[in-house]
Amino acid sequence: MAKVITITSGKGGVGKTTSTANLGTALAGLGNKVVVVDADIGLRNLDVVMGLENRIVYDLVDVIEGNCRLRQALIKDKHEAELYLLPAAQTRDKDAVTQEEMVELVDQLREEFDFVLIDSPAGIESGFKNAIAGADEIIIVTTPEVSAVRDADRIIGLCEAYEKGQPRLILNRLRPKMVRSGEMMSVEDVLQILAIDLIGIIPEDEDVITATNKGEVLVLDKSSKTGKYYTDIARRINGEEVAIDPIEDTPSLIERISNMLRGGR
Amino acid sequence: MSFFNRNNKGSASVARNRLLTVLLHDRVKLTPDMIERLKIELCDVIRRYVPSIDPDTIDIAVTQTDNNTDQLETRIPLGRGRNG
Repeated sequence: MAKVITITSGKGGVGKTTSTANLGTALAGLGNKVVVVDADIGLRNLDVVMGLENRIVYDLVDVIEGNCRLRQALIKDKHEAELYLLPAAQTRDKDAVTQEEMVELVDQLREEFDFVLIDSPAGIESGFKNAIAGADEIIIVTTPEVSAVRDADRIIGLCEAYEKGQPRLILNRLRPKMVRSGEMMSVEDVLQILAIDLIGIIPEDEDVITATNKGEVLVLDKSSKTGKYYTDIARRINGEEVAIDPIEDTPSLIERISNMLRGGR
Repeated sequence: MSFFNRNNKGSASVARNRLLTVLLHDRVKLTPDMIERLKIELCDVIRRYVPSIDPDTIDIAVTQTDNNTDQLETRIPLGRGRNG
């Protein structure tokens, strides 16, 4: 039975697309047939994050308007044999699609795949509503910042209003060192405020930028800790029991000395 | 930064408190205009029983208790009048 999961956030730039690409790749690596759907119509991005931008012929709007068959618009991933991308239209408006059409499309995808991951646009308007219309489950991505958490809270309220059940949370771009020095909200702070379940923590990692520059995803880099954290989230989505460990990060020498001087911890 | 500064509480707690305040208001969806109307209507009702209430002195605020429960806190000072 296929599972349809929408990855959303409210605020832009917190890591929805990166998370979708990594989780899709990881779920495929675990032996699932996966499609990642870019629902950000007019602002196509998932294709470049996955390095598939040169292969696009048809897009989501073409499928909905009947310009092509669904199979023709699906792009096969470079690495994972069982991973496909359904790209967003770049030259169209987000109102080119209705909620009913999205649900119909998602139901078609259910027949072919084990997992359908939908990358939602930022915001709470029609694009967001389209992205969650066909979802069984919602994953919210946020960073430990006031604006991102506030928007996440709004999204949680909307998910309840649309009867999508309680979303689960990816806390992205955590900097353990800043949390230790009291300069960044902790995992516990954010969870207490949002009162939803955590599905994973991703540390701030420059490698995400270099990977994205190259159109690669970190889960395929076996030496990447961030890749492993994403794979762990994928395993949880896949139904495995995987404990959420605190982000590993050895305190620097200066930090340790400073803590000692403070009568430290 | 602030190598020897032990009293630095850190901006995380500032962020947390600001967020709690913002969310408190986001979640109840009460606009200042609605609070003003609520004050006037509340005053109309209470005046039937305690005529000395002045609507301008009523204070309504969304607050949070120590154990994180959101609440509507109302302060209604009794006016000077005795026994109406």
